[in-house]
Amino acid sequence: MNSGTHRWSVLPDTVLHWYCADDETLVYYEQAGTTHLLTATSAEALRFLEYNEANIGELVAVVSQTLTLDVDGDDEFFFLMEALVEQLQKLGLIEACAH
Amino acid sequence: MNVAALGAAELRNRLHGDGLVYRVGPYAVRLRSSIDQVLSAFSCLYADYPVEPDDGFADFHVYVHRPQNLRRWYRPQAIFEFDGKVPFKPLPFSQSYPFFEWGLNWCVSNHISNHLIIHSAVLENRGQAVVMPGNPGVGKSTLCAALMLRGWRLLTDELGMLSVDDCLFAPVPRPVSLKNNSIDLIANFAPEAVIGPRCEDTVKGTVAHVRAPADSVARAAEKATPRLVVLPQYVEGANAQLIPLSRPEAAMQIAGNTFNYSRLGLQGFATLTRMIDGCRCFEFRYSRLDDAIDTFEQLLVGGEG
Repeated sequence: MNSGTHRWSVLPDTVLHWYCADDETLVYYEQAGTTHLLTATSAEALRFLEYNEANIGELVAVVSQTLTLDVDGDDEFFFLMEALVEQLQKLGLIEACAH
Repeated sequence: MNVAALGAAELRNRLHGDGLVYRVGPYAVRLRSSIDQVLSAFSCLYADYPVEPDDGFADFHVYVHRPQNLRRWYRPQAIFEFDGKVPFKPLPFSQSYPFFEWGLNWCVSNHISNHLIIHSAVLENRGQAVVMPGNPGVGKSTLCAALMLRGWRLLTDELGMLSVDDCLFAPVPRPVSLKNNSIDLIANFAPEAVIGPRCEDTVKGTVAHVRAPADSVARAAEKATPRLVVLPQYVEGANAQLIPLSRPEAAMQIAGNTFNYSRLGLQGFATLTRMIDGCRCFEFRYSRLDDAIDTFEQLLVGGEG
């Protein structure tokens, strides 16, 4: 699957609970009863996908703006985001949108 | 009245009869046993525990006894009974006393619902409770015994009980379980420590229990506020070293050392994060107990004010 061309979001009816401290985040996925430790980048991506759909490029824009990262023209951050999205998918936290 | 005040004859009568009901922090245990080894170890290690009325309520009904079959004589065994059921296979008779302690751990960790139960030692000093989670073998109980023998209040060496209601630790100050080399280490470190009988060839090797300080038992109704999370690791020859740990990372480590985090669901997550938010968290490597105690004293100073 090429995650870069898909749009992503959390699973329908997902309820997430957050705890942030010391530049790291814990998220509790209520339906699955699982707890995950996220980096700031992963956490911001998931926070956006909790209420929105987005492709990788849009996530790069949103996360870099939120974290005030200067990533203009930086392919590495795009690939990093692609890898993070795949990890979030493997954890069962997000899925590719149907359309 | 405490167990010592009962006297040897009355203690024997109760254990052999309908059972002795005694209190450890938030719960009461009715213990019956016809085994002298259990009686002698119990009278040594539980002398300071309050006795409840004979007809009083008990949370756990425990019976440690010999089987009625041939194994009473041939390679004798001990049976642990909880509320009339036998949850474990018998163990060799010589392990009767540790079997009681291990069985009671199981009772608590599987049947208490209003606490997040963390596999950890918990001690308190100057109003600050330190939580030391960790898998067996990291030096948790040894460090716990050393701290309590230097005046820290023991809440538990094994089952940290964090209330989901007020996020305070409920003391369950039972004897501290030591294994193998740690037994002599603590005996030399604190010659005044009361150490119960050594039991060899268990699945954990040689085990022995250290009596909890009378002050810790007397203050078992006094909850403690978590302020420090320390993940200990004994490393031979290492100097005492604290390595700061982020609170989310520490919370993950604790979640992996709980008995009922999943069962509590969102309440478990809320309790854990509420606790960790008020704590400073560290990994801690050590090899010498005196250095470790100095380090913990310094941590207390850093948390005051």
